[in-house]
This record gives sequence, structure tokens and C-alpha cells, in this order.
Amino acid sequence: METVQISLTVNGHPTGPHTIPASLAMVDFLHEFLGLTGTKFGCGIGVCHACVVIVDEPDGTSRTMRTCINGAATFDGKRVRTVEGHAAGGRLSDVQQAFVDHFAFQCGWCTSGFINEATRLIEELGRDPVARDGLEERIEVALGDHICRCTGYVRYYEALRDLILSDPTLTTG
Amino acid sequence: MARWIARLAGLGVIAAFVAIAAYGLFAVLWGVPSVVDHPLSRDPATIAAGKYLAAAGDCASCHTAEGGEAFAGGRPMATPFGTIYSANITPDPETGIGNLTSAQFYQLLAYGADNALAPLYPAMPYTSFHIVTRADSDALFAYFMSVPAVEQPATPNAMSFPFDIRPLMFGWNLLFASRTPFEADPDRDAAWNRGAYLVEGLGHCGECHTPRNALGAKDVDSALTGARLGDVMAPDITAAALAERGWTREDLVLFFETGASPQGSAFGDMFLAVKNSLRLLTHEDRVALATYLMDREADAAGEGAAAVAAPGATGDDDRAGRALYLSHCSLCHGPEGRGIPATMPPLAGNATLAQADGVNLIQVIANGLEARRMSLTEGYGPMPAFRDRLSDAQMAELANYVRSAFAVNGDGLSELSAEDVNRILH
Repeated sequence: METVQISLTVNGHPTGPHTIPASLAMVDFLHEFLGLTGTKFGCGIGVCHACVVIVDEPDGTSRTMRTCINGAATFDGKRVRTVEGHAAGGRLSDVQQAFVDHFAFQCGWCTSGFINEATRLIEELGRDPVARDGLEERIEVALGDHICRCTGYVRYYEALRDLILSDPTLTTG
Repeated sequence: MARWIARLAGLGVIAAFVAIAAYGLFAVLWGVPSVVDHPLSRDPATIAAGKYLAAAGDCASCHTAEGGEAFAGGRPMATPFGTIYSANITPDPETGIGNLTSAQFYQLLAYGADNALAPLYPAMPYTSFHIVTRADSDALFAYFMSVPAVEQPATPNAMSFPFDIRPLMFGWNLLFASRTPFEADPDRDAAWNRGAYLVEGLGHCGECHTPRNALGAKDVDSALTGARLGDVMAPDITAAALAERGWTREDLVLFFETGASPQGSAFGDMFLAVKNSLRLLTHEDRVALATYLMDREADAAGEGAAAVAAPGATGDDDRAGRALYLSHCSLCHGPEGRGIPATMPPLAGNATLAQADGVNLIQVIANGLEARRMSLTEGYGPMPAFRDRLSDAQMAELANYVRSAFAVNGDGLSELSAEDVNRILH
């Protein structure tokens, strides 16, 4: 079996070098090598976006990446945040708390993906606020790829919209 | 002296006038051949036949705008000479074809013009449709006159000068548009001839797969040898080239039926051609198309998938390429390139890998593909774009690995370099 060595930073902690099979999916690496099981394997073909993690780029921006169709080796050298990295000091993050307050999820399988995507969007708006008229569309674009089979999305959307509107620095106009 | 200039100018005006009048006479006499009118058929069998022919002609893909009403037109088509918007071909009398006669319909289909002032542009493939029989044209007319009328005025074309002077198209037609009717080849069997009628006529395959000259006319000497289509290549679909890339007649039939085959999946505009046209045809017509394209006898023995390389060709010693493949591609396409049926296309034996220029392979690796749904149960997941995570050199290495490991003609393909990748993408 072909193996490769990777080192990366996960939730602020450098880890590695790990010798892994070259074809190991990132989601399996998080589960099997790091014991981080909060990232969920959904469709396995890059459609449902349940498995996304946040990747922090050197230029200060962030993006989400699917971990089912991307090998762990593609994350070599990257700074990654998973759902385990959001709560701190026994407190949920604002996004997590908003989803709880709005009863946004039921089974929870898609939730870590939604949390990562919503967190990424809020950070992006912190750097570059959106006009209030355009907020609905930005939320739709950000969350639109994420599939939820329980609650029908509305509560996720409302939770995120309310959270963004509660911080006047994230919107303009 | 001034008198001479005035006289010359006068002569010039007269000459211009004569030239325009002569061109007008040419347009009227030659441009729009007169055609006998047949009464519009309301016979359900004729309408059903027309509906089938409309599928064979893939009329829907161009005459329906994205998200628009069926056949109401308005879909933009970019050409090097400007943007053309497809026409409303529903029976609305004001904005559609409701006031046409069957004769005018045939004139538009076969000659691209029903009057001397406003001929069509050859974005409407009358350059292919001229071999369609009058009976088939009448059936198509009967079908389109039976669909729900949609009142939707045409979007004005945005053509650059001088191409916005529509009657000039008669000159183009004289140079480039054939009017020779279809003639069956008596030395070939019925399936081959049916395939020829569909491929060269309603199917208008050459409109994408045949290269064009500087004036946008198909180069008939290079028919079906492949042509650039935006960022990608419509591949060479001559019989020899198809066989070289691993296609067989049986697998082409499967590809036309499902958009998927051991040689890979339909993407880009070909996806629409399969979804809106080829998969709606009868099995016999799909066999006819493949028989003609592969230039086979109808009763020749099948080759099936046997000609495709063994999945996951063995012993490729490009370890760096394989490592890239395993971590970036194998999670969907499988470590041996088998793909997932009706979900992820196989790479082992994939005909796109076997295209010598590598354009489509590099474009797809770099820019990805959108998820596509052919039917309720069949489709393909999204292919990520690797442009922002792999360098040109890495994409070249990856492409060389998959070509060498999975293309049927892998050993005969030249290596792609980082410069090749850069050239293809810019």
C-alpha cells in the first residue's frame, strides 16, 4: 500500500508527522488517527456537505472543504478547524448556541457541517460586511449546498440570520 | 475636373444601386427556393412522429431557455460574430410560428430562410437539416403547432457589423450551405443509412464536432474530426478516432442511452444532447447512430466492453503520480479507476483520457464539473476544481499518471508538461 507522510494543524494543535495510506479520506483520518469523530460521513460523494471542515488560508481568509472526497494528504501543511474546535471554556460558540436556541437540528448528522459553514460566513462578514438587502442571498449561497433531511433548513437559516443581525458590524445599510 | 468627379460619383452610386438590386434579385430568386404548401396535419400519429423527430433533432436544448417555457426560445448562443437568441417555435401567432405554413417551415429548416429580408443565421443548423425529408419536416411542423402556445417575443440578436445585415447570409449560404438532399448509400445496410440520415441531418452532430473556418462554416473535408467548443474540445468522432480511444458500437449505444459507459460520462453540452435527445430515441435508432459512427455492418459481431483496458492497469511505476491520484482522485473514482456506477464515472478505459491533446482532461481536473442528474436514479456527483490546490506541474503529473494507467492508448500518448497545462488553461 502506498503511504505518505503528513503534518497539519488541527484546532490550533500541530499534529504529525503521520504515515497514512495515500488514499485515506480526511474524514477517516480525523476519526481513526486523531479520535475526532464530530465530522460526519454523509453521502461520501461530495454532495451533502455534512463532512466539511474549515481550512484557514495563510492570507487570513478561510474556506470549507469536504473531507469525504478529499484525501487526508491534500490537507498536508494546512490549518484545519473541525466542529470540536468551536466551543471553549465549557461554552458553546455563538453559532452553536444559536442553532440550539432555534431548534435548528434534530438528528444532528448535518450539524457539524452547518456549524463550520455558518462560522466561516460570519468570519467573512467580519472582514467584509454585507449590505442588509443582500444578507438573505449570502446565507442562501453559503448554506445552499448543505443538505438536511430533518428540519427543512428554515430554522438553520433563521438562526444564522438572527445571529448575524444581532451584530451590527456584520451588515451595512 | 469637378464635373468628372461628380460623374464618377454618379456612376459609383448607380453601380452600387445595380449591385444591391442584383444581390436583391439573387436573394429572392436563389435564397428562398419556392416550396409547395401542404395542409397542416392534426393527425395524432403524425404529431407523435414529429415529437420523436424533435427529440432526434434536440430542438429543446437550444429552443428552451434555462428555466424557460418549453420551445419558447430566448436561449443565448455566443458565436465569434455576436450573440444569437433562439426563436420561439411554439404556435403563438404573434411571437411564435403560429402564422407559418408548412412550406415556410420547410424553407426555414432546409434553406434557413422563408423570405429575402430576414434569413436565419446558421446557428440554426439548416446546414445539416437540409437533408431532412419533407415528410419529416411536415411531421415536425405538426408537432410544434400542437404544443402549448407561449407568447414570448424574441430577444434581439446582438451581432457585430457587418454580420447584423441579415441578407448577407445568402452569400454565405451560396458559399457554404449545401442543398443536396439525402441519398442512401446502396452499398451499405439500412441501419448504417438510417444512422447517416440522423447523424448528418437532424442529429446535427457536426455542428459541434466538425471544425469551422474563419467565416464560421463547417470544414466538410474534416467532418466530425473534433473542434474547439469554448474551453473544451468536442472530440474527434470519426470511426478510427473513436476506436483508438476505446469506443465500440455497443458502448456508444449504452452511452447514448444513459450518458454513461465504460468510456466515461457525458459532460458539458454533450450531457444536454444525451438528456434531451439521444436517450429519448428508440434502441434501433441508437444502434443506427453507432453503426454509422463506428462505420460497421449492422449485423457485425459485438465487441462490448472487451476492448476497454483492464481496470486499474498494473505495474505503473510512476509513484509520485500514483500518490497524487490516490489522495485526490481515488476517493470517488476508486484506487483502480472503476468509479461508482451511475454516481462517479470510471477512469479505467475512459475515452476522455485517451484524447491526445489532453485539453478536456486538464480542463476538468482544473475547473471541475457540476453535479448532473440524468434521471431520478442516475447522475453524477460534483467534481471539485483542483486548480487552487495543485500546481500546473502537479496537474501535469496527475494527468500523465491517469493517461498512462487508465487510457486504452496510454502508451502512445505523449507526456504533458507544466507548460502544456498552462497553455491549455490560459
